[in-house]
Amino acid sequence: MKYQSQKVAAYYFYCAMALFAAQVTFGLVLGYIYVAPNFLSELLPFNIARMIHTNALIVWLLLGFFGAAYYLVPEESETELHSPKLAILQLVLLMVGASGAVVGYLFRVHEGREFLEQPLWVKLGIVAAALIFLYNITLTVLKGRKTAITNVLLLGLWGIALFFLFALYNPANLTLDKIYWWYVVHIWVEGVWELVMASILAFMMLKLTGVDREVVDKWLYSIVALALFTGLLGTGHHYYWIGTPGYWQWIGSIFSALEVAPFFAMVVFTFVMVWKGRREHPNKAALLWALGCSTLAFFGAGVWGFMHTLAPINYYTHGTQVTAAHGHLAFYGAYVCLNLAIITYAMPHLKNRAPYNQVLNMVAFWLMSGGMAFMTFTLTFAGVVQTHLQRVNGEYFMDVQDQLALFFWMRFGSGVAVVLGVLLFLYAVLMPRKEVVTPGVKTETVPAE
Amino acid sequence: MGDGEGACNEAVEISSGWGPLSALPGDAMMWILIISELAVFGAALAGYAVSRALDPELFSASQAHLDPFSGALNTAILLTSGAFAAGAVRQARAGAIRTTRWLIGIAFLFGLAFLTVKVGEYAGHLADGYGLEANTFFTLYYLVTGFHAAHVVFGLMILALVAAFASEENVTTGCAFWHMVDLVWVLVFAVFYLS
Amino acid sequence: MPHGAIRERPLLLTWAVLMALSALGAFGAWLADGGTLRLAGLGAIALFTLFKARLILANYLELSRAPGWLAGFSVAIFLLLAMIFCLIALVPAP
Repeated sequence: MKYQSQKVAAYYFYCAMALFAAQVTFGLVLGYIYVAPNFLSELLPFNIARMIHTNALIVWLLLGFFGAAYYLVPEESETELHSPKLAILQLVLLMVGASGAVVGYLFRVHEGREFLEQPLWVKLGIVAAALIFLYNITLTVLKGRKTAITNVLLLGLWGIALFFLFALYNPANLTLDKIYWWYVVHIWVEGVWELVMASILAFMMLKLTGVDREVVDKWLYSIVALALFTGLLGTGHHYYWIGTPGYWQWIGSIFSALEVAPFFAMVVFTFVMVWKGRREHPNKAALLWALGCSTLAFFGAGVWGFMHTLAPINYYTHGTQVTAAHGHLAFYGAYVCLNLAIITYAMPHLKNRAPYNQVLNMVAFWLMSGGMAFMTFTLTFAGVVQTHLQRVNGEYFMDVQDQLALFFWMRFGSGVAVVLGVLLFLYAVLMPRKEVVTPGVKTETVPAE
Repeated sequence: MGDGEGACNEAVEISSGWGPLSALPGDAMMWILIISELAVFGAALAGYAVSRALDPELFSASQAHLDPFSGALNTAILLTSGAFAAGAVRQARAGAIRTTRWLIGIAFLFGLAFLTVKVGEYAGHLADGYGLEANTFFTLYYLVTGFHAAHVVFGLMILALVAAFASEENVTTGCAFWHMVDLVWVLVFAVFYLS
Repeated sequence: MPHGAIRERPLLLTWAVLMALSALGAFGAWLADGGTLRLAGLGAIALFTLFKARLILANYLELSRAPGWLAGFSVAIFLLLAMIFCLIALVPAP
């Protein structure tokens, strides 16, 4: 840690990991409800548990992004944060909002709009927190050195805040409602979040591999160009069946089919950087997470997304377990792995010691990723069978669900593996061995250029 | 993103780091755009071919409403415009800024002529009652040619910009976009009008 | 890149060939419009279009300086045209 104010990142990471634990716990409950539908049906109905599962995911990923920004911006800009106090205030706001929302959900207080179920006061709190964050981070960037990494990160973070504003607009017309709803949901995960992802990965490649900044910058700009070129009009692949004109099927199919390009570029980027890099960085676990991030994002978001993105295919698969398979691996690969990568990289620096619990952390990677990959496969098979039985043969939804039980049991099993992996990860990151004295390994903090 | 652009231009001049892209004339970012555009139009034309194979009667009947002469005229206009743009790049390389600007100006006028013909065609189809949602053929026709025409408009803006800031690098980069618009039209013309 | 070292093809020639190929393409379209020579007409259109694309790539976009890229773009356009025109040839309009 080169700048004192980077310390605030640690608090963000702790909160993110706490919510991560909550998210996967509720995920496990949901996986069990799939095989035993009456489980907790009075106390914690499926829709409420799902709300918490998805909301907690989004919030902890965002907390991770904020933490990553507070960690890397001072280092990139070569200056202290504008105000660490504001950063803490922002975190308190977010955590009050998040816990308020969760408690509210448990008492059935929510606005019902999928993923944006937060009550209005929570949404406004999020906007306030975002404004504080943007003010804080923008002023930091402006007073310090400007790099491609901070430029792209800022562009992504501003985009996140701007597109969230559409969450506040809920027109009565159901088609318009959905059109704007996707401005938040799609343009976040397949647009501006990708910018955040690319810049954090670029920062990590710079630090971990020692490749020249010039080279990293060019990759970063190329990936960003591809992400925006394909992702923005790619929103059209959500407009197929919501009451919009038919030409959206063409626009959505063509542009979203190319959305695999930025993810492929990120795979090539990370592997080429590692291959060309001269530096033997001691934090092998962070490197593993970074490479796992680009690879699993390519499969989860790119390949699994492409599988059902073309309108004639989506006509049959829409809203089946194929979507669940895609959603799980895409979020895990692109954004969970990204956050765990930057946490794994930053925590030793924030604790001012050499990388610790590396083997445990890497075991956690393989357990979590293996579990998630297996879950993706079972859900994909379930989705294909479901598509055939329900959409081609025309059987009833619940009859089909019964026939998918075997897949749902296997999914529950893979969920157990994921949760164990998460626990292992939390232990590895949060519980460094006490007796190890910090050796003077400082070489990795030497900037790459 | 003022800073980003600055960093980008600076990076290009060093010309290391772009890898194989550095062999291409002009700014490498432009070539990433060109390749992406070709992929989009390629996918759209492939989609057209598949849709046509699924309903050849409809496509043949609808296609009869297109005027091959207008298409051919626009092809000639755009290819001529491209020749002037290519000439502008050579003049810029030789340092003849005045001539460069003149040539870009002529290329620009031909671009306007293209749009005039295209708008005339659209007006004719609309008057005949064939709009964006008339059938699959016309949806594709409007999407592909409309998207292309949007690129012509955007290309004209780029041409104006590089005429004003007529460095060799800028002119090469801007004209590369214009030639991409040319190239795409040649393919669109062959698929929609000729076959 | 040594600019002077590369022989530039006269633009006027490129332009004239492009115009001629466009005219020939129109002839191909006339052939392709039903009848026994339909396939020959389609083949001619595809071939002339490929030539035009290559001329634009090589002389307008100056990829003659980057032969590897020229080959790559040409192959991609060849494959696209082959796919499209094979489909058109296989499913004739009634």
